[in-house]
Amino acid sequence: MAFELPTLPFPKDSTGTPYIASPDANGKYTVASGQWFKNASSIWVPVSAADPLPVKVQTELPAGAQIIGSVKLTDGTDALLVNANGSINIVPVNSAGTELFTDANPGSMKLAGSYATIDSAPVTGAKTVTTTAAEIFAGASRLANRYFMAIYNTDSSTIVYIGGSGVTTSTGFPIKPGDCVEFQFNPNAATAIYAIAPASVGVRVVELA
Amino acid sequence: MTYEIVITNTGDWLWQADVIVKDEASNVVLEGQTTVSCETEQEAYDYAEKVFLPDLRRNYSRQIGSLVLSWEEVAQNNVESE
Repeated sequence: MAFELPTLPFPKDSTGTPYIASPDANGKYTVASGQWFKNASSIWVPVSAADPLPVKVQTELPAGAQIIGSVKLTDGTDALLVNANGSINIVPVNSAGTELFTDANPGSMKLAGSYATIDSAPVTGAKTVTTTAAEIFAGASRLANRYFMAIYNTDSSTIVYIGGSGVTTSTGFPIKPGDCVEFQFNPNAATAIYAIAPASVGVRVVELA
Repeated sequence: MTYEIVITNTGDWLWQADVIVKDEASNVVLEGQTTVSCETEQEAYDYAEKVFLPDLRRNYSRQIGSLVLSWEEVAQNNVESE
């Protein structure tokens, strides 16, 4: 649908939108007032998805990585800015849009790998370390999701040795009589600690999760 | 009160010992699991029965304090026969 450019000025509808009159008597088309047109060599052509309005970029960006200067991504609160040097400014806000990590709104944060609090009751136990290397823990089995374990050698003369499954009294890390050793664990990685001694030794163990 | 010990090989010189303690009605009262690094299955069994189980009985005396271990039964029988 195309037609010759009508004589200016265009008539306007009740909302002030210009529209094309309907010269039906001469075989022309009646056009809806909401339709946009573009001027194609003095012929008005309707704008559509298949025939969109051409937009000319002032200077086209060549292919490849390009620096386009500062870009501000914002809904009006300046929450995210990409600077010309590639750095990013982020202003964290809560669900109410209030800026966080300020003196007035410090916010809260949990660091990955940080386990500073107890989530369940501690498990303690009196265990026996023998000449057979075996896993050491406080309860009936290794405490699930533990992040801490301490072993206290209650014996007065015998050294306890700890290590991996292959620990021996010749290679293990010693816990001297009366000494205590502490372990920090990643709760998400079940890790066994083995103990062995040159004779049966009593130890006390505590696990936290 | 009875107990079962199941030993499973989980690698070179590595055995998993599962210990189950049941009451007279065969209800499971306590389950324990540990790993033992030794050469033979018998060594792992002996550790589970003679070290791990007694430790469990000591630490969970309210649940399995009345558990009598196999060698203790023998000892008691010997005393009674004398």
